[in-house]
Amino acid sequence: MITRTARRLTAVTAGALAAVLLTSCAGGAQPEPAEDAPAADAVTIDDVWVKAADEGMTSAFGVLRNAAEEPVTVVEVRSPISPMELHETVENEAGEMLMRETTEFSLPAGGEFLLEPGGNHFMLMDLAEPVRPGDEVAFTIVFDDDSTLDFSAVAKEYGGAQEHYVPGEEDEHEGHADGAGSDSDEQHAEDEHDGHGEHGEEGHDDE
Amino acid sequence: MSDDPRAAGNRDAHTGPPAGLRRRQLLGGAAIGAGILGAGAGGFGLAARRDGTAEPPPEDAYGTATVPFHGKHQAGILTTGQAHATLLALDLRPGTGRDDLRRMMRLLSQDAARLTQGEVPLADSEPELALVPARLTVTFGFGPGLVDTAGQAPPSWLAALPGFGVDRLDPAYCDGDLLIEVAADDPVTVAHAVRMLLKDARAFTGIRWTQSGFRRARGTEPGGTTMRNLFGQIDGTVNPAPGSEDFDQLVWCREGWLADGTSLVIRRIHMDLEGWDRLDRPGREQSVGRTLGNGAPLTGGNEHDEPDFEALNAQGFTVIPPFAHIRRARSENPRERIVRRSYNYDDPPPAGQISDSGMIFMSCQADVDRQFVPIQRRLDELDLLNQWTTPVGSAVFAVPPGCGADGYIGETLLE
Ligand code: HEM
Ligand SMILES: [Cu+2]
Repeated sequence: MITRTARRLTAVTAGALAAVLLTSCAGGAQPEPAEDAPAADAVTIDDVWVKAADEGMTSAFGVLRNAAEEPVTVVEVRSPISPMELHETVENEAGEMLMRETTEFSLPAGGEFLLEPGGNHFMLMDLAEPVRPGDEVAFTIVFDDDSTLDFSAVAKEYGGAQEHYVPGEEDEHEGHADGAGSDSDEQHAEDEHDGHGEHGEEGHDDE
Repeated sequence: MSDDPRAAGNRDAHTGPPAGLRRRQLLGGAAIGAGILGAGAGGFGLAARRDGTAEPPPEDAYGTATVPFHGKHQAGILTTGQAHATLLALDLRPGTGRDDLRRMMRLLSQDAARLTQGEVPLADSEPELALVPARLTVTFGFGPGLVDTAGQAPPSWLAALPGFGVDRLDPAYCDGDLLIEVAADDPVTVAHAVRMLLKDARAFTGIRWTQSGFRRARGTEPGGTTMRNLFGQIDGTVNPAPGSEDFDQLVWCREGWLADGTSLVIRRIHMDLEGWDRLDRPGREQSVGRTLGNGAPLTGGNEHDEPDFEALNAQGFTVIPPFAHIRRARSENPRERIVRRSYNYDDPPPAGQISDSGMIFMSCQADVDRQFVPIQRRLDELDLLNQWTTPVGSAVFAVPPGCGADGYIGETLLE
């Protein structure tokens, strides 16, 4: 299910090889391959799932693990079915938890990075097609060295992770999908009582 | 012959820390994860102490016991009956197609695989509840409607049973497209698994009926004790032993998408406890042909001794009366046998009464028409127990074979 690409792989490998040859001849200091290995090679993602939704926004979750001795940085996530953002959850001055776009996720060296409801997550901003329970959705994570990690996530019905899209505090009554992904300062209020801009969150609850 | 977990259960129940107590999706992960690892690290039972005595099993040993989900046959057929079972009969929503069935059965299989191993399924909003597997098994059965939707002709026996004179069936407890049997030694485990599986199935199905049953809690009797029903009878004595050649012959289907699968008959049988109260012990024992004390045949011996159906009493009547349940239930034809795994039910009584109790009778057999139906026919004609027992629900399901780790239950029908 997981595939990796590393655009710089050829160059890096050649460089590292040259370094190994040189140093082994000279019997000198070890090279530092970690710095040059593509980030995607060190990372796995497990337990991935995406919240089923008929339209609008939804989110994807999982556990990222970084085996490298250096932190690695996720700068982007893509899916063929929606524009996407990296989202974090923060508390505003009023004590509300708000979700907003962040420019990167830094995965600690040898550690885990959780994507979970109410925390960091991958956000699908505007679905081009319904994500039905049991569907497999394709994703690509892009790291800061341009290497990529592909994975697919199964869709499940989920009552939580209610992403209410609020494009800026002053402007709550604006439609939700306009300009999605265009402004990194846009926020989502994670507030169950906020009736504005709801969409698709109970897509299969048709009782 | 018995339901002995030392014979049957140990084959499929691993006691000890479930392999998969990995942290999965736990909210507030780190702290909970540490707790889980701590709990699981102890191992179980076999470690010898320095003074030579064996270390006692941990107090949560029954909670950590698991039954493999993947395999040739579905779990829950060979498994020694757990203390609690909930049956869910679901109907497909109109418009559900083969592709939907595939998506649904994948989701259900994935969650069943994790839950039965004590692993948190994806998108579980109460992950801590998933960590006590308690021999959880999840068994799926397909009704004729589902097989039809899959584009296959159902086996001839996959239909409502023929009507019997004793039947007083309430449609609220009959039939269904998809059966999910969830059984474990702990009721919270059952409730949580049921909740997860119903959330998976909700997009594709609606509930037709549910039934919950129970036996004695694990650990309250020595392993291998045959269950008692709410009439106080030892029930399940004469039953082919899981894993035996006999069992395999009687239970597993051999052809097509059902090869290594079986069939499940579910009869909800009301038991009239008030009427039974009016019957004294000798009458009770005559009605079945066995003693209440140790379940031995009325012709003597112990529970597992063979009844002597010819033996006569001083008056010249057979000791085991002609109307006795065990005489009527036994066929001359050795192929007309079934494997029973029933549960008691004890539901809130209707207004003005003090009991609504009975038995969720379940039997597995390779062919319902050739094995179950002849027995039920004979009991319908004559069986003194009929005076106090009334079938009020009835359903038949095809139980597909098991699946491998990359597969899902139903793949032989749906791929
Ligand atoms: C509430 C209803 C019922 C009660 C209380 C009941 C009770 C019992 C009891 C106490 C025994 C003797 C111990 C044993 O071998 O398990 C027995 C045996 C048996 N019962 Fe039932 N039973 C019921 C319904 C049924 C039904 C519906 C069937 C099948 C159609 C059935 C088939 C059998 C068979 C095959 C045996 C073993 C007979 C033998 O010795 O060969 N029973 N039952
Ligand atoms: Cu978000």
